[in-house]
Amino acid sequence: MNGGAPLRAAPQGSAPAVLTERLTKSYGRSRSRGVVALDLEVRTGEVFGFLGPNGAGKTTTIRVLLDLIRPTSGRAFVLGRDSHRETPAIQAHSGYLPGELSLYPSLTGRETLRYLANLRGGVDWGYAAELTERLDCDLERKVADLSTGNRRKIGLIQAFMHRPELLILDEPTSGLDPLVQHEFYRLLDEARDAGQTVFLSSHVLPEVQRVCDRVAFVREGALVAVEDVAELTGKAVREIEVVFAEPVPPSVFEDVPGVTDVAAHGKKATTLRFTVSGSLDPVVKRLAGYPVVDLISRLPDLEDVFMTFYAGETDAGGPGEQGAQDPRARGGDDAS
Amino acid sequence: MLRNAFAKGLRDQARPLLMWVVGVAFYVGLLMSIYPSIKGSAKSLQGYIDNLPAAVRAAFLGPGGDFSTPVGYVNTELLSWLAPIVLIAFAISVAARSLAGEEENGTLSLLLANTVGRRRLVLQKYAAMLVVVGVLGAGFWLSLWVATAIAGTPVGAGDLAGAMLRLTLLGLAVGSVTYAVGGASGRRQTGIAAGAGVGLAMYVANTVSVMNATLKPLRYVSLFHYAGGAAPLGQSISVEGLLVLVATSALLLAATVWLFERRDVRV
Repeated sequence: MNGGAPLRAAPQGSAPAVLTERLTKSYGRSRSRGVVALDLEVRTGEVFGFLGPNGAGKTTTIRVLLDLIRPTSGRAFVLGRDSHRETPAIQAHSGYLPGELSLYPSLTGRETLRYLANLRGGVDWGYAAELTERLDCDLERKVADLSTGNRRKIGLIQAFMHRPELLILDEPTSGLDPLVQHEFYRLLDEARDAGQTVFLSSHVLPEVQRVCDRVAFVREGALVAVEDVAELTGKAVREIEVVFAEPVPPSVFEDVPGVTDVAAHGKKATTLRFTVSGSLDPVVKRLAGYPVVDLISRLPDLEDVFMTFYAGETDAGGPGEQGAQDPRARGGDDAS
Repeated sequence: MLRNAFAKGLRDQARPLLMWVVGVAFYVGLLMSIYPSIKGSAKSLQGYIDNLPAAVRAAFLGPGGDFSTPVGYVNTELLSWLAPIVLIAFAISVAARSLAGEEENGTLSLLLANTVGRRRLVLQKYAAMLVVVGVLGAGFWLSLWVATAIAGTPVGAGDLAGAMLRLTLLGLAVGSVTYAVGGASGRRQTGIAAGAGVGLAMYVANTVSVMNATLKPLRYVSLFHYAGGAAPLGQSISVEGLLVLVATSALLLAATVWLFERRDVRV
């Protein structure tokens, strides 16, 4: 529930769960870059978010970790082992959910899980059954007849069912309905409690804030920053929209700490929009003196976060415009 | 049931295999059921065939064209072209579905992430291909043996087995081309094109070498030659021929492992 959970320190003397050294992957003759000189460290026992827009290199990095593709230069270590030379040991102790999950259409969910469990060996089928129940997954139907969401559930079960030391999850919540997402977050909390490490990619900032201890931002194949989620939440920039029962001059809020870009909107100028960085508390205190009809707090789009915090450090283009319509962010910021 | 990639391969191919075996049995039965009537007019038919220009005769009948004996009939109508084509086509289709098919369907990542290991995957899927192509060869053999016996023109079961063994190994060798190219490229179509191209080129090389004395050495690059050429039935089986066929498949399998272990798997 709480995105600002305290960080777990890695056990003394143990290798990081994931470590990349100047990892570079170029594709094809055009040498288009998947990732460039990526240095990344995921500590044992933490839930680590790998955040970036589509095409930033998240999936490329993940596929190198699993030795599905080979780095152009640099190296990756997973669970203290070389990703290429010691692949079997890595795969035996990790669970993987592909971003683009494909299953066998002619098999049922149960047959799919049985097959993958047989390949792996030593899977506790009781736990797989428990996961099936918790995610409300129908295993009796053929995969071809299942919705995308149900297929993703099968993907999650096969990643979790052998209780791996490391979970590598590429966009795990895409296609899941909210109830199942909630159950998935509980699974992540349990994994953290059990000492498992989770490395998940996402392009949804609130989700990462909710479940991760730390988060890495990637953009165009390069690491932009690694942030402690608790600190990030404190730094987060929100867009606030307040509808008043009567017109309120923008100047009322201009001197509130952290508030910028105050502007009036609407026919009678009864709506104010502004940006708040840091705590919302001073804004709320100031609002108390006015008749508030509606209050909307939006977490900005990921692109905006980049632009706000790292504008000087990237050669980024313009910020995305899609954040304003994103219903998921609407009033959903319950960080405490 | 789905214990490993080998078992999965068998299960995936079971239904197509059944259809191919039924088709083969049906065709062989049909062909042998009309033999008695052909045999009756064998003399006039043979006269016609003997008067054909040598090139036409070789192109359409191969060096066979002998309808007067059951062995000649089976060679000409079946073993010189249809049986190898059927076995090669089936082997190519199975090979294309194996590695390249798994990759194009997007399931390869999941398989590899579940500790299969690339080398083991290549070997297990190949083993499954070996079994199903072998079963089709055996089905061919059984249909022929039963059909010739019923038609009252028995051909020795042992001779038939030898001929079908060589043709099955031929099918596997050409299928191995598809397997290797498909595994190395990750593309079904590329693998099919490679296997079909190699198979066709070798068939032409062998036929041309029979028609033209100066091109005779060309036959040694053709796997069809080692599988018995135009008359697989009725020859003694050469150990060298069998070795060439088996060695070709083994080399291609080794190449598949080498190439497949070194490449990036597509999403």
